[in-house]
Amino acid sequence: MTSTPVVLLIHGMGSATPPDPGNNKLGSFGEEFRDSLDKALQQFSGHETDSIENYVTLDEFYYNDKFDLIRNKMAERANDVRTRLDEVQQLFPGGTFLRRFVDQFNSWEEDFGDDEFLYTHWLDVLFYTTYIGGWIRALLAERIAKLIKDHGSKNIHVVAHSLGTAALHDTLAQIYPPGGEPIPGTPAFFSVENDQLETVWMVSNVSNLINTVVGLADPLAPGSTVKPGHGGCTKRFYNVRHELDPFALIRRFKPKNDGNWISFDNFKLRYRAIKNDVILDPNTHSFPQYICDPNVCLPMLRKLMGSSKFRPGKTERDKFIENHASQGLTGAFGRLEDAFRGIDVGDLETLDEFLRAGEAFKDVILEMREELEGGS
Amino acid sequence: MKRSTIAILLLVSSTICIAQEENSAPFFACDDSVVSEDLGSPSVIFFTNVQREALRVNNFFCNQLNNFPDVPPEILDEFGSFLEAAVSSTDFGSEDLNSDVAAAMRIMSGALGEQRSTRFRMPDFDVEEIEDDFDSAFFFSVSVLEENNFVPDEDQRDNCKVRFTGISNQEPNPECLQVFEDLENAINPYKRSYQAMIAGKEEQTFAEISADWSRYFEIARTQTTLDLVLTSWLERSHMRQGFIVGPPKRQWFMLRPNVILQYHDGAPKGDQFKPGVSIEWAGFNYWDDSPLGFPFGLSVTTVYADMPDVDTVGTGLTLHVNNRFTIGWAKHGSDDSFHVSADLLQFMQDKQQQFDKYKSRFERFFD
Repeated sequence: MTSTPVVLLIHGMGSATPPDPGNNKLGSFGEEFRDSLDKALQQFSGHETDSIENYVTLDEFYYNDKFDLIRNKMAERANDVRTRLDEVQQLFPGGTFLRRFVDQFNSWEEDFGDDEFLYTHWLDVLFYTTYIGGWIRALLAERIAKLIKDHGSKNIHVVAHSLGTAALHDTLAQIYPPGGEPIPGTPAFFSVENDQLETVWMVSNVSNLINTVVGLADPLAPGSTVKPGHGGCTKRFYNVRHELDPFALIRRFKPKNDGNWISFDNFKLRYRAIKNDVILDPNTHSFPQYICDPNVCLPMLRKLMGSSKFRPGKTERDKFIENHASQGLTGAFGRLEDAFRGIDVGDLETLDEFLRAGEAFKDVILEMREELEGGS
Repeated sequence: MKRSTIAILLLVSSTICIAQEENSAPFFACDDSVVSEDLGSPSVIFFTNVQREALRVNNFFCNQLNNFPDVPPEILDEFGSFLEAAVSSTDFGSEDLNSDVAAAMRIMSGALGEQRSTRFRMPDFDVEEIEDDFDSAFFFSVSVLEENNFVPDEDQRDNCKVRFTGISNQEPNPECLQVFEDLENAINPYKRSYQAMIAGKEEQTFAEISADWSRYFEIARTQTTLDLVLTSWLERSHMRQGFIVGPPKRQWFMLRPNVILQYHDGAPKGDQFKPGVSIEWAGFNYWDDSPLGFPFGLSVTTVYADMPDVDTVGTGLTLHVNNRFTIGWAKHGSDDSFHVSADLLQFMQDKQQQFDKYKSRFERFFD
């Protein structure tokens, strides 16, 4: 056992590639995290060849394979049915509702075997909101338990992105009962007094949105244990969003400092709402873009490495912030803002609207990227 | 008593003792991962006496954990009293800061002395930097339910720094934050064994639940997206129980197309057995345990198969067995049809092939 802090990374929707712990290899999400932090760290004197892995152990919770398994089973099954449907098609005179319905539905599931954006991204969200999410939560609970056993809870930092924030929130809500006392029937739990995690970082937090469908626990309820400080599952809570990340806008996780969610003191000392606005990549939902922003990486490096190991002076920090801002895409902010006005993400409250906004957002980004590539 | 009787009794009792010893192997190991000299934590400089006591408590506690839950909590109460005495008597450079530290130790001691039956209270002593300006401002607290945050102001931090300057050669000019982090590292190892033991048990439980889920996706009937959504809706009270759960007992189906093999007794000979499609309008399936003692399900179904001279569409009931085999009946006007899933047919064919093999061996034997 080591007292080296461990960072548990939880990816979001999409096609992250798996880690290979046997060969000490990170998956794509872990690599993005490490590379983004290292790129920032190496800009500070004394750390030019340093790496965050010299200070923490990175542990990835990879769950994409579960969704892939289910997707492919469905596609296979639908394929069998398609073959049979074709053979008996004379039994379905053109225009009958049933044949049309079965055809439509079945062909959608057949396509699950493809690698299209819809099937590798949105399907993850849909799957998580069904009972399949229970499987993911059981696996994540098992991982968190293992890390507490091996490292002690005070050595654990958790960083989740996008759909991963929902999985993390829901799992923590289910394994940390209020008041440290389990409700009847609880098979296993952790105590908010004994087992608080050191930090939780929610990057592009969609837990509030996903909860409208999954309905497990309201992230903003006064009784929630997924919060920092006394009665909560973590000592510090960082909520990170980009001002123009539409996924973080929809049914936003935005606790008020009114003493309800947590006390005024704990809100001031233990909760950080971090808002980024520099755009290096039109995809404002991108995880690397989030991590390399000074608003995130500066406190993160300090927290993970410790105050005695990461202590840049104010001048150096200001220069770092300035450098980052200077790399922002000229005019990108205004352009995206205009595009979002067209999508109308202002008052979106439902999962359906979230999915449609996401599709529109994707089109805008692709267009901007093409323009950038054409101009370079 | 005869010697032989005594010998037998001794043999039996020693066998029983050995069996008991084998059955009572410790479930938690006090190995180096939880009781080593420094538990791998950063070296403690200023509060080595506290660290020594914390490690002693941890080691002692660790050796008792195999009696869990009958572990005497008194040692925790004693540790709390020790902290109050030892830490509260340390001078941190100013009266107010000393008073805050004493208050924190009282909270710690109070929690350690007030144990519950379900799980021991073992809070952390926490020191957290306020990293906004990287100026080593910080606060400290105890992780009990009742709120407590102590925030040394700049003067207190400066006085603390002065107080601890030159005390140790290892760290001659510590920031006040470092002094408090030293205290944090000294105290918190007291709970390492207990936390590791509990987490190990919880990990095992969650692993069993995860294994149930894996089994479910391996053996239960594959569902369409509609089925998934319907099952999630109908089984929502199971999924929303407030703790980690395994898969629901039942699956639900609607508007689900299947591949079938149909036997229609009204069709002309040679055309009675044909492949087709069925639509399960609605149904359920107990994928594991069920009121019947084996996995089974039932659906209202309409079947379609291309057969001459008969009504090709019929509606009836389908029975699903063991998540693999389907057998059903449907009414086509005045005729009946029966259908099976492709899996069942394959199973029957495999069995038929096996039977034919044995039959031919048997016949050869008598030739």
